[in-house]
Amino acid sequence: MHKIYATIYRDFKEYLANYSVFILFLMPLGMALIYRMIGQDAGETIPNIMVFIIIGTVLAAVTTNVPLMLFADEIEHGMIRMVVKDKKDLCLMIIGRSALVIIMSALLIIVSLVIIDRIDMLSLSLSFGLFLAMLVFLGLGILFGIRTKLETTSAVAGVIILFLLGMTPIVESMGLTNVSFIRFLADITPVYQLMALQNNASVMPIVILLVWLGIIGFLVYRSLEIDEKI
Amino acid sequence: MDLEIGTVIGKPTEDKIQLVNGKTYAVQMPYDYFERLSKVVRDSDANVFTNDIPVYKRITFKAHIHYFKKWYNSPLKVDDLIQQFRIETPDEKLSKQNKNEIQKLNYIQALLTDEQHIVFIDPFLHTINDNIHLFHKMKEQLIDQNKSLLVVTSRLEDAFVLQSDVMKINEDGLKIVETSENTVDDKEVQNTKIKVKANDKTIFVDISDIEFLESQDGKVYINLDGEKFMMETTLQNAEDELSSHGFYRCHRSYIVNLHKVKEIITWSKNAYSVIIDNHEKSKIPLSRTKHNEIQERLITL
Repeated sequence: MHKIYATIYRDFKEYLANYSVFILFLMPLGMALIYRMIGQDAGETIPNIMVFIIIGTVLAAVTTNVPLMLFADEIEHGMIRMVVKDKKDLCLMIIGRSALVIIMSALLIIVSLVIIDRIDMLSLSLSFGLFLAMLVFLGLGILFGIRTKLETTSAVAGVIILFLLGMTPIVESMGLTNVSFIRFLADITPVYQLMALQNNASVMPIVILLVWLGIIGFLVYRSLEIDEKI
Repeated sequence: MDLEIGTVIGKPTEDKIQLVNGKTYAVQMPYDYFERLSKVVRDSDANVFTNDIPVYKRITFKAHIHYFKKWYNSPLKVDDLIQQFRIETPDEKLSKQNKNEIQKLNYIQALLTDEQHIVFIDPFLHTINDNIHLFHKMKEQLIDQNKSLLVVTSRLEDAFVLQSDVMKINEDGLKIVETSENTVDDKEVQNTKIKVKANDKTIFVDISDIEFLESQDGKVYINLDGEKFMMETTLQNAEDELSSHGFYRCHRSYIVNLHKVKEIITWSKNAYSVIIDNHEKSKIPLSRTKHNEIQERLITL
């Protein structure tokens, strides 16, 4: 357990000192404030699509990109080998990092929803779905953070995840969902499962999220090999 | 923990260094073996420290020590370590610290780690005296903690900074470096070895290992394995002593070991060089008058 606490301690210090990470935390909060102002000017409540764009941004920008950036930096500069001796150490480090990222992501989602006055939409099913979605996005961050050799390559992966998986509801506002293929792809993304849960869908969104989790989890498990790169 | 020398030099040999808890070991080896040694040691239960120190640059020195303490669950106090190693600015980020301060983080990690075997690779290269002194203090504490310390250096002089019992690894395997303290001065030693100075220590080197001797600023230096050792004699005396061992004075300031001569290069009618069969392919000037004689000596060798 002390290795998990040590990782949480170090990562917390890193959050405070790393401006790139700090900006990622501010992104969804900034978006929430802007949407709130737009909503107030228009005298209307913020549409669900906008809410889920913010939630998707938290998931992609924070839950994926923060561990992705930190792992990529450590691997490129050889910092992991400084303390990690075996697979068990690496797993403990991942658990510590993941715990802190999940806590930060949950806090940011709650604060963003409070800012846009939509905290009441957090039902039990949506909260459970959010937790599963966080694990999916976290897995993506760990996978790409460990697999890429350079920080710049990992940054590209992070941006692609942000736009394709984090901001998927934007395709609806752009009218692209009229194309059946795009509609199909959008319907299976994690953020759309959250939207379905909010619309009182049955158990299917949870199943799809679990399938995502299974695939990402398997890929992360295969990647956890200690080699010269790490 | 056993360090198999064969895995380091890449040749089968039965030589090995047995790392025992509470003991320190100093080994000199060519720089080329460092990477392989690092890999071999990392695969065993040992912590390896090199001069290339990866650190979390964005956090402060103190926070980094706290991180190590928490990771290894060490009982040592952070403030005591900061005081002991004289960390000047513990609340500054590591990106703003100089290399000598960051080096102290290696020493602190060695004390905090839960690994029983600690390996430092070339810790005295370009190191200031203060850090060498702190290294010795760390060494004493590691012994008290019942850890073993292996220090590997590329130069024999640096190995003697740690202790007088030094081992040497080369392509032939492992051998103990004989010094005036650990050698009986008998006739056999006098016939096959020669006394030289390394970092104020008197050591014995095998005559057959010597590549060439040169005279510089009134002093005689022996060259072998990329290192220079001073010999307390004149070049003439060295020539008299070594000529029966296959050494030849090819120039006013140089004596070469004919067994180590690779080739002779002719630059022009009056300019020649002897190339030594070593890593650096050293070029030794050859006097015009000695050109024919050295060739005869090489033929009859």
